[in-house]
Amino acid sequence: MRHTGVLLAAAVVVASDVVALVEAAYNRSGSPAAAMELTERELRLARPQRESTALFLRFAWQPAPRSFTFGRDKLEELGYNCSLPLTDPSAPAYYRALPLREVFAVLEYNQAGWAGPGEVRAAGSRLNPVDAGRDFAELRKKHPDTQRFLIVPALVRPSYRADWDPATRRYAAGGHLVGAVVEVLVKEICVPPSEHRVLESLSHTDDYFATPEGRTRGPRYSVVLYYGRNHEPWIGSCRLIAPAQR
Amino acid sequence: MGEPADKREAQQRADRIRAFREELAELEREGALTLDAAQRAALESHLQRTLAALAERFDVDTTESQKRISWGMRIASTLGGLALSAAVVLFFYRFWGVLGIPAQVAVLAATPLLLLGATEFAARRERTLYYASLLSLVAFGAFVLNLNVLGSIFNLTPSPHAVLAWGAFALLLAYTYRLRLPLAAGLVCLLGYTAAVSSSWHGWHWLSFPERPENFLPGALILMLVPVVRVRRRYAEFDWLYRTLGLLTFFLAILILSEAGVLSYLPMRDTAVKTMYQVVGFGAAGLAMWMGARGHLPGVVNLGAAFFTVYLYLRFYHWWWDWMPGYLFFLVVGLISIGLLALFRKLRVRTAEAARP
Repeated sequence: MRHTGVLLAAAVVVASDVVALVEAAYNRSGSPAAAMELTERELRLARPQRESTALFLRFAWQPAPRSFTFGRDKLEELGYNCSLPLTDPSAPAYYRALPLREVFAVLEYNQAGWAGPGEVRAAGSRLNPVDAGRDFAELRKKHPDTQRFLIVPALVRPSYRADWDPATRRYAAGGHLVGAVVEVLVKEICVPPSEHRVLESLSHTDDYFATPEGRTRGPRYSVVLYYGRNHEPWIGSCRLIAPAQR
Repeated sequence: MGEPADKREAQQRADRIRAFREELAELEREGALTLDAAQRAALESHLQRTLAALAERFDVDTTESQKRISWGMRIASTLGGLALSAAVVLFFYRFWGVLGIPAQVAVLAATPLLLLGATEFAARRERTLYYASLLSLVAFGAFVLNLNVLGSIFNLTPSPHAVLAWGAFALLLAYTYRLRLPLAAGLVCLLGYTAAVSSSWHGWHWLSFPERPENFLPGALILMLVPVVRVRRRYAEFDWLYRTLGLLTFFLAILILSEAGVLSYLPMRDTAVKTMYQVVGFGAAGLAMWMGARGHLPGVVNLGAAFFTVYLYLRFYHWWWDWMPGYLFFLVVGLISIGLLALFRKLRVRTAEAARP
């Protein structure tokens, strides 16, 4: 029994590693499903721990309410049951307790005419969620420009908002539903060893844009990001940006 | 009395022998029983032989001080396992950046396998299994690191199947070496996995599983049933962990649902769900006390009584707190506590009577 147990435990380790490696190889096989060059504004440098030598790029995008939110119809399209009338007394609690759903979010890069608050315009991410759906192919058909639209697995959540009536100074009966993309599923992207030398000398990590240097100089590097068959990303290459190229 | 099947039964026998010796000495002091020299010598030699055999085969504690030291060793082995796991994780993070991807993968895959080998080596060299327990915990930590970091290196989407793999690995370690720490880790992983799968089946993302307490009920029921339906008694020492973890998860899920019906999957009004789970909570706590008393399972009785009391006090709070003056509320709660005390006392006496031959 003891030998069998040890062999089975070793088999669990080996099998799990093989599955993870096959998944990774499948994702990167063939030509990438999407490729986009982003800067430090969208991919912030992060170190997991003080002593760590690993480097990650944390995905940054404009969250709601600055960006895309959607209503009841879209929520139903994404699979939420919104049949409970909003005037029902239990509606606020019901809709606020609805859990997360996995969908595909469409993030538009450098949206024309988009203007956030001053500090966001200067240093914030230029990736804005503009759509969400359950079918990747359908979304890609709707947003075919792969240089402008990134389609990534993400999580959405609805929330119930009560409507304030300034005339009566009370919340009106009923309310409305607001859905939003709350998280992308792969939030941190590992910097491969081949690109380490480009980024490892940079002193500040994800607090860079809070420093005076960050606000005046702008992003320090750009990254070519690929997405594969499983809609999982990887870094193709990194390069430093000279201050004038901002 | 046959041969003890495992260390737990052997320890029980050793404890009974120690208690018997103490009681025999007391009876002789009181003059209720007197053994002649020949009888005493024969008995003492038999007890010595039995204890020596138990100590030789199962390495049991034969004295009270040995038992206390064993507890200290158990605590040291747990803390050591946790500290070494943290050391393995931080050591890898320290050198992660200087290794190429093939080297990273090789180190990640090899570490839990090497630690598994070290656990086997320690188990062969030492019957008490303190070092094996410590190393098994480090091996489990290394396997958690392995899949976590592989996912990070290749930016894989988080999957609940990793939790299943961790649970299976921990259970295999627990059953191979009869270790409780890996068993607890494995059962927690399997509870998490069944809850995540339930969340996915209901259409939600698997990481949302804590938001719906009903996700935990199937796993909790399975854990409670394992000791009941187990045919072979080879691993009877694990039963209490299954029962305790299963009951604790079940009662906590029911507690949350009885307070927040909106978190239920049931297509019913919030108040109807809350009422239903309040009834289920009281019924289940009462049933646990009754079954625990019948089956001589003090842990089950205590857990049932604790949750019965928590459910009851929560009801009092909801019924009375808003309109009753504070002093009256606490007076009523105090009086009811005295009533409960009398009830539990009666139950205790009945249990003792039932146990009497």
